[in-house]
Amino acid sequence: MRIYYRILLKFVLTTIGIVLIAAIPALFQGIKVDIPAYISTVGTIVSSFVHPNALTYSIGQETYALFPDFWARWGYSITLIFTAFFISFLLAMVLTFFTMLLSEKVREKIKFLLFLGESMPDILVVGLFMVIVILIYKHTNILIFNIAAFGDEKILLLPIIVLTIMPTLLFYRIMIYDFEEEASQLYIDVARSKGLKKQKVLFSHVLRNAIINIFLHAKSVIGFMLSNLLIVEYVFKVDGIMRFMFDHFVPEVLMVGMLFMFVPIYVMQAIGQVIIEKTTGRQVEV
Amino acid sequence: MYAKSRLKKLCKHPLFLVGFIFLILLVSSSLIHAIFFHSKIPVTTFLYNGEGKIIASGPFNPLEVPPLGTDPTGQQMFFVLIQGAKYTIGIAVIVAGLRVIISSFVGLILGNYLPKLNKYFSGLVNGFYYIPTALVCYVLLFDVMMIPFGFEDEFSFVQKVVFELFVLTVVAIPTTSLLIGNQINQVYKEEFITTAKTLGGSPIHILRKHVLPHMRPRLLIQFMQEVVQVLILLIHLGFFHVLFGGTLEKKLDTDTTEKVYISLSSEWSGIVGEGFEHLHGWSWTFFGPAMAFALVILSFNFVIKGMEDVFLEDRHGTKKRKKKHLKKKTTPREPQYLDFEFIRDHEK
Repeated sequence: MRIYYRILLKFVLTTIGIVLIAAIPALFQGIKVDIPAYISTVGTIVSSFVHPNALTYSIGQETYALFPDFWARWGYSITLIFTAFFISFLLAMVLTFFTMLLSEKVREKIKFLLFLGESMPDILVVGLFMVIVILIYKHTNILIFNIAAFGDEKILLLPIIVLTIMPTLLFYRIMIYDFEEEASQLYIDVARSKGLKKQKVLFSHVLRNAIINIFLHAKSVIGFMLSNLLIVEYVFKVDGIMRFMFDHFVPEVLMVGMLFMFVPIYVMQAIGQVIIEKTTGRQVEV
Repeated sequence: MYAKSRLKKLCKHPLFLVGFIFLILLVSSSLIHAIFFHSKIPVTTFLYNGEGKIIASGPFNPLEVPPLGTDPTGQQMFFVLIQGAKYTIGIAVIVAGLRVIISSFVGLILGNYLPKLNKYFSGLVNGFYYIPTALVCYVLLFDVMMIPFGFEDEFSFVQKVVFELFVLTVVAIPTTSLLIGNQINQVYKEEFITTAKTLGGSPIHILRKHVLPHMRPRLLIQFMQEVVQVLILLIHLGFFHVLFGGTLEKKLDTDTTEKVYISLSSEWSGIVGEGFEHLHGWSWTFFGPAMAFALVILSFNFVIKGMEDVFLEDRHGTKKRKKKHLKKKTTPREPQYLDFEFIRDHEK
């Protein structure tokens, strides 16, 4: 019971935190701090929880209702981020598995390369990708991907590919680290000395225990992916939730955007947390 | 004497040396450029042949005008980058320093004196993970920094600089203080603190003589990591045309809709953002500054790696196994009482 209480408490606290963060635009008038306006904005946001259909956003002079349209944008962003997340997770897992079969010397080299790759700003990766696509188009007249969205058209492939690259690197490094940590435990030596094959030990012993730590480290990757998503939506001019928040940064929009990014991710984390705590009996924090 | 031997070790660490020397060279060349050459940037608007006839007009790619080509106004990119280096690195260092100093105070109070509140505080701060920092900064800075076409500047340059430094610092305070608070908490749980308490050390004494020396290398590493964070944040903001010290929006002609964003300081992130607009035609105006950013981030990462290897190793013995364990300072783990456990046994 205690674990569900903790999950619920964290959910409530984070929601409060999100409301407080979303009201920040009202805190500054120019460069002056305006605390009464901030408090009244927090009040407005809280009251909008009761009447979500009254939420609006404005473009120029026109005002539009936030809600029915919101779901399409939200669905699109969530599709992008979750697809990219799972692809990069699986890809990194496969890569790690093969890397762990290599000798330590080669592994050190791979780790160093990953370290170099991680230092690349994500914008550089996006830029490289766009230039490559354009170069291929120029030389072969084949447009592999649409590089910008027009109107209602939704592009999925290129944003997902761009969104997958950096998290894969991050996951790959985290996984190698956690796998090595787990592989240096004594029980692995025992298993090996009993004559089990290296692959077998990796797959059925190391993987199972390492995945717990990998899961706990996944949070930083998600944070990184969200900021990546903002860049990707901005560059490819797609109509997603991040770009929506970027274009209309009034407190209500920020609140709704953050809240609906938070809920699905948190559900995933909470399920993972419950599974880990039930199977290992260890108390973990996501 | 401890500090000296550690410094010696650090100077022998190859990665640290490479990163450190690169940064020193970059900043000092930027300063020399400012002091002895008065920040003069060579301009190449046309190329001439042997007879003095114009054979080409800019912007030129890196092959025509080495080493990095020219930007649309004919300035040589290499010198533009050299000139901007001191500002970019300077801003990152100042903001990171402020972040670490303020967060250490908040973290100390939070971790040591209000441990009950810590749980709730960490829940509230969790909200920051679901919004990109660049977006928060963009929201806060947009109105102040942007000077739309045809409008007068509302704030002075100094006001804007101070405000931007303030915003860049404040957005990271909650998460960083939580991190540092947890680390301080970890130190207070160590055995030697209990011993010192038993021997009658006052809280101030324990803080000064036992906790701070333990925290100093960690704070230094945290500082370096913050520098990298700020650099990435600056790139993102520059990408969205929120440039340090204000953005001037201009139109090339009165009848075109194409806008040009002009940085009021000559700092790198503005060049990256402007370069991305011309990615299709003049890709070097983007890749030059973006690569420069990547190199600076890489050298800071090298420095961090060197510090981690040296600082976090020698205090706790040299066993490789232990060192590995301590490197993971950002995600402190619960103590494991058993060396191993089979998952299968638990399911019974």
